[in-house]
Amino acid sequence: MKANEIITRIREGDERVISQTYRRYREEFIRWMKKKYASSDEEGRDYYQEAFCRFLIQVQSGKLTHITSTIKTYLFGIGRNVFGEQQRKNTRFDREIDEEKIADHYELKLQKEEKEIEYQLIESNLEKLDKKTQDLILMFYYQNRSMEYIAEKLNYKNAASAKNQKYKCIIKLRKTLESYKIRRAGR
Amino acid sequence: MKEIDHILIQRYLDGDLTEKEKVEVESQLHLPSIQEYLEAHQTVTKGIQQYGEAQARRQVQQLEAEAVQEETNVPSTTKWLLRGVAASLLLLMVAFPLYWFQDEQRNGRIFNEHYQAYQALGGATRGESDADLLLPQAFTAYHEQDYAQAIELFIEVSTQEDRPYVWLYLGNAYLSNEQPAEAVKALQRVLEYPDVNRKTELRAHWDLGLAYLKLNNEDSARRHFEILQDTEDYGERVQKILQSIY
Repeated sequence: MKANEIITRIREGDERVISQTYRRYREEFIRWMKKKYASSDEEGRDYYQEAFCRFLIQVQSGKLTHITSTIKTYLFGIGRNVFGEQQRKNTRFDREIDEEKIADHYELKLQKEEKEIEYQLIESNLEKLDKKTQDLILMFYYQNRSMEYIAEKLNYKNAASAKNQKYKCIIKLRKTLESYKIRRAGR
Repeated sequence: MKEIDHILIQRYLDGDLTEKEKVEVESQLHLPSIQEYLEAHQTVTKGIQQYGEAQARRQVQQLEAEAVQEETNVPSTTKWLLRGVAASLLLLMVAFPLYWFQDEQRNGRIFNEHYQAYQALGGATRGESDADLLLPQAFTAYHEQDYAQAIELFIEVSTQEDRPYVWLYLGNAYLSNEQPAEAVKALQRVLEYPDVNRKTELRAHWDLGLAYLKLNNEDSARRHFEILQDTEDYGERVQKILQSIY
């Protein structure tokens, strides 16, 4: 199977291909990290998980639909970036603490935390949806699928019918968010 | 804003309005109530995306847990070596258990009876990469039964030619060179390819079964042979082997 066919099948949610692709490069990736960056086995495993996860998200969300290299080259490239980011994060840490002492980032930090709570609220409400509606919402907003595709896959009568269901659900989620904000403002 | 307006904005966000409706919505985008709506919508969609990503992360964590679990089930060469040393010491200290010896003899006999190096070589589509220069050399070494040399060359090919048949030949070369533990590792790589063809896959199971027999690991050998028992190419031979080791 060629790289782009693998990508197509992963995007279609073929779990067998996801699992086989994960296993196929894992050991080699860990060995490569060890040799190139002197990582421990545990670090190599963590980097591989992160690299594969980013690859999976790119494919599932439709941001990556085809590549000109092999999957291996692509994955190892992400791995290199993940490693670089981690190194930069480690070296930046001390400096950030100093900066924090000088500039007051407290307010910004609070806002960020508040946003995270709101995202979590949405996530927990998605958990409560029935499987079909959950798939519908994820296919549209996470996988970036067309309504025609979603209607066919989830057996809706037509795209308009699926869209109508999506509107209802989004309005419900938004209202949950509004209620939370009103409660928070009243505190 | 009324609910109908929300639906109109929602359709605007989905790129689903007529030109006239689009102009109407865009003329109101500056209003605080619409700004508020858009901000809430952004939070909702970001929350949904985070949920999708969290699911992907969980899936990868699960795959990693399974891979680690499998690793602990397949001991590495070093572990086998250490176990071999420990077993040898034990055997020197206590009486040689006859049944174990008999099992090993029997498994060795089955291996010798059924194992053979591949007859048909090649089958890969050639291009002009470095691997193409190495492959004929690897196949020649293999054909001339210089398995140590073939192993070296196939390992080098495997870094350039990302195909299952390379691992299959490497595994078989290891097996021919009396290195069953290394053969297991190489042959398992064959099964990791999503696009491995049926014939190669079955051959990998067959060689894995024999490699495990050579290692006296009957449980693992049986698992691979059982996959083959209903196949045309291996069914008959596998039935005989399974009867012998049950």
